[in-house]
Amino acid sequence: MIKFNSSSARIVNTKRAVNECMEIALGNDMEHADLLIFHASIGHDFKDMVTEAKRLAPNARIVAASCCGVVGREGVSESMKDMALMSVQGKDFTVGSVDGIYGHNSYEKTLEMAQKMKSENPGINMIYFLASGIDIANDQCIEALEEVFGKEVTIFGATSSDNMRGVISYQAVDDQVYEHAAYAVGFSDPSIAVDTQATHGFVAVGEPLLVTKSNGHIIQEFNGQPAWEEYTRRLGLTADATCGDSIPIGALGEKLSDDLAKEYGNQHILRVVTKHEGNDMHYATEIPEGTELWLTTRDEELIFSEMDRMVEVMKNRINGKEVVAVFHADCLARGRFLFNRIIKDELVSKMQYPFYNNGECPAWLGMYGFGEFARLGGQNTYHNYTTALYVLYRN
Amino acid sequence: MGESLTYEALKERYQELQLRVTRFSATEQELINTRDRLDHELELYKRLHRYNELATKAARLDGYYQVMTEALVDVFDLESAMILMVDLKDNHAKLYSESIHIEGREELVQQDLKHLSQVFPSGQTQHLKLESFGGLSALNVCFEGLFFHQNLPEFQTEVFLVGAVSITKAPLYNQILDRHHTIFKVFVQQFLAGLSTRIRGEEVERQLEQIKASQAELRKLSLIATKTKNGVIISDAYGRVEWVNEAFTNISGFSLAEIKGKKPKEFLQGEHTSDFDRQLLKDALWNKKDVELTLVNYTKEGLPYYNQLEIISVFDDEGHHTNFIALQKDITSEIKIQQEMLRMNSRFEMITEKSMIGVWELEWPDMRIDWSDLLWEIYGVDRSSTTNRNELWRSVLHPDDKEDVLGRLRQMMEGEVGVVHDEYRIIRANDQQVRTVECLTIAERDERGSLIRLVGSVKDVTDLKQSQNSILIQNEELKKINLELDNFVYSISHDLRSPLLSIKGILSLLMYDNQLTEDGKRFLSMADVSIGRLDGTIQEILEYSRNSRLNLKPEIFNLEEMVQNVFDDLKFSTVDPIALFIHVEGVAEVFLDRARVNVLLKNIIGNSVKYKRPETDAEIRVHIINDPQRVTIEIADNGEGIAEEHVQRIFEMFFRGTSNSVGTGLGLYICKEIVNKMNGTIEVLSKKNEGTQMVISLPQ
Repeated sequence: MIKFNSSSARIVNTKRAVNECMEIALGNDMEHADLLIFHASIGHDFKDMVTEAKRLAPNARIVAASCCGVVGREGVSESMKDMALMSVQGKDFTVGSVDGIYGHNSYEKTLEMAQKMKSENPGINMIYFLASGIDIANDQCIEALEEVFGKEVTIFGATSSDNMRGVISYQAVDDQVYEHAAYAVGFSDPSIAVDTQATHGFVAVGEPLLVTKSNGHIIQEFNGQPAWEEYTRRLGLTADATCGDSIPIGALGEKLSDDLAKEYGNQHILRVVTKHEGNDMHYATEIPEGTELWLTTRDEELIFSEMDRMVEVMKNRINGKEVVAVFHADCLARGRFLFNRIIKDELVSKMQYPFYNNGECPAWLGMYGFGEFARLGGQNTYHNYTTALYVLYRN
Repeated sequence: MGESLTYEALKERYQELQLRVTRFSATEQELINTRDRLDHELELYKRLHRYNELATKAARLDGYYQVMTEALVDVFDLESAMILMVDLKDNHAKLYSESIHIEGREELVQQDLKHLSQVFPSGQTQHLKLESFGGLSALNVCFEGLFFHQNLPEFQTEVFLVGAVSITKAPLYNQILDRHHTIFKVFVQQFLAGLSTRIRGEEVERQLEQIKASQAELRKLSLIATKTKNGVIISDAYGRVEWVNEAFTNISGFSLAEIKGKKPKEFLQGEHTSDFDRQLLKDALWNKKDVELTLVNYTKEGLPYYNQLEIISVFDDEGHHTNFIALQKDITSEIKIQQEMLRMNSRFEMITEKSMIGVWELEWPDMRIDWSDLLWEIYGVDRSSTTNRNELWRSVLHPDDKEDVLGRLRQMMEGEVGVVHDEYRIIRANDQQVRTVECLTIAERDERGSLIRLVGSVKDVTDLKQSQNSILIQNEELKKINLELDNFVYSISHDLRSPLLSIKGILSLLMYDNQLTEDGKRFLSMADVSIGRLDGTIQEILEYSRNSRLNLKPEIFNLEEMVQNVFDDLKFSTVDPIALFIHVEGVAEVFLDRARVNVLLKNIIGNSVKYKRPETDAEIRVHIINDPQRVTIEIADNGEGIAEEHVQRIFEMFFRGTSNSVGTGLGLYICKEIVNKMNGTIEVLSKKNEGTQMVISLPQ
């Protein structure tokens, strides 16, 4: 039976930050940690982080990913020096990882990792997946994981990021630090189940952009025009705009079926796009020609009301069972670029408070990253611009 | 109604409207970004404030520098930062760093910072651009940064601050803008203010520590002065007593109240305090010099004691003489012991000198060696020799003995043996004579068994050895002569007896000749008696010789029967009757040399028969006590007895107690020799005209 503890800290010195996090999460029991899951801002030294963690907990497996900010029981922090930890005690898990994952090989690489994990632990019943968030095809990753474990195994997690510059992201497994890797933690404690859902609260505006030319997850043309030029023109940006300029305002909405829209509370699922070579754009999933994509705008009231609705729905589904941990992925564009500090704290409070147990927040590990994984219409789905909650509860 | 528009115009307006709708997001985002920037700026000031608080709490200067290095990174969202502090007193530099690995490159970083300090004016904050880092050794990987340095002469310190973003990580960091530079100026002002406070605080703290240390020292000194067994006198600059400790009162009998304000010489010195010591003290005190001496002082009761005195002159910070401190120790008992030791040492030296024993001592491990005067003579070494004594000793060792001697010495030094008795040869240095020396070497070790020193004695035994050798040779010769003499006596006696017995036989035949006159018969009879006496003498000589030559041959026999047989053989040699009484305690069988015991009994019982008193009922009483280890034979008679003056001499060779004695004077001498050979004893108790008792005790 596995046990979770969490912590977060904003400390400039990486080693001290690791010490602080581990002391809060594990106290004097550091040596008995079996798995340490770190999220840390891009300003931290990842090599120092895993080295120090290994020193303090020599028996533990360690995984880590970079992000734009963290959310823990202690609240939200978005700076260059944030760190959050979810520690796991217990043996019911398997760690898998793969390096050199990109858009063109996302399926193969994920499949390779999944098969290895399955061979090591056939009892895996949920997967925490975290991949490089810069340029991989996340729907291909889902497909590969489902190929091995089946569609019934829930995939939850996020994609690692930097501070929204879209330059680099780090992943670490044990003492190795990578830039284009993915890792997964397959949990196999039969007493634990996971419930996931995502929400965004954006509304589509104006006429859609029609994908007139694409290749896999690369959009080459919108409305017969070079994709990036047309996209930035519609946003009112110049063509030399960076992802930092476009991401906060440039969420593209893909229309959902009526059933999914009802569950989702929105007619559109959102996608993040980044500049690729030339005027090509990288789309987070495969994008067939003829797809209509809407520019969207944020609706603050909708964001709050949808958050309330999602949490309520999840609580109903969990039906009073003991929440043992919450993993949380939030789009970095929903952080300080969207809300001021007070509203952000209020929003996080709205998502945490309903899961409190005897007045205490459960173990909580959240990050501001590039993307989120959560079920939609019963299917494992990749999201952008959402808040996604993964509530682990004991059956 | 509005104007009517063409389709194209409507389409154009629709597109424009569509753009306005989407661009509203961009405008809204700009507002958000502006708000975020303001929010972030506010956050930076908050961080600055937080670090100021942290810096205030930093207990030490080290902690302050480290906190401020961290602050540089955090407040300005930089990748890394360093603060270099140079102590201008000794040019010692210390580098504090955050979020950068500079292990092994500290010196290069210091050089770079000093280089930057030469380019940019002191006391001014700088925004460093990519080109600013060109030509540097370690910081040439930086893209941009903030820099400040200043010499702080009042603190004899020079400080350098730098925060930077590397070229590699630059895309991840915000560019340094004017507003950052403004905050940096504030930061530097606060840093310098904090540093000033901290350094002053540290100085105050250091002074407080010194005061505390001085107070602690003072307490200790006070404790020492109070509790020490040595006497302490503190006097003013004129030598007048201000304070004494309890130990001084115990030694001298004077309390502080009795002597306060007086000079010690007024009450401590007396008849036997030497003038030389008085003058020495006087000169030292007059010149305010420290002095150490031992002199005779007197207690309050007027008893002299040896005072080991040390006087220290005390000066204040301005160099003014303020006090004298006198430390004194009563060393009377030590002096007495020392004198006794000197006496003992003198005696010991005398003994060793008279005994012709040289003495040496080796201190370990410094190999310092002392030789007594005599040892130089024994080795024949010139005292003026500058050669190491160990080498000198090795040089006189006889080549044939050297290896063994050094081997035994090595064993001793390695702890295998504690004492070595040795005898070896030396070649005396001055006359090249080979001499034999007898040596005793003893190792002294501490409680852990480590060698402390070796002490040893050396005696030249060459002459003694020569004397012993000649005595041994003489002894051997004497033994040989004795043996030859015994053989000679035996041969002569044996050879003499054969013709004598032939003569005795011829005389017996002549006695039966009828033609022999009465005178002839008388003469023959006289000749026969003389020959018989001569034969007896020869037999006794043979017995003596046998006893000397032959080894003991113990066997089991019945002693009572032997006594009876000896008596039966002898009882007819006298006309008057004589009675024998035998009493045996224990069994009669004994385990002794049968032949020798027979000779003993024949001689002693023979004497009892021979010297019985006329007109008395002569008797011989034999008492045998036989226990497993020893046989005691007491033979008592009531015969003539021996005169008191002769009793002690009866066992001497050829001694005869009476003029009418008929013996050779060898009988009891042979008995004594036999008893000695058998490791026994023989004693005599006798009284003239009462009788004699012989007690023989023989081990079995």
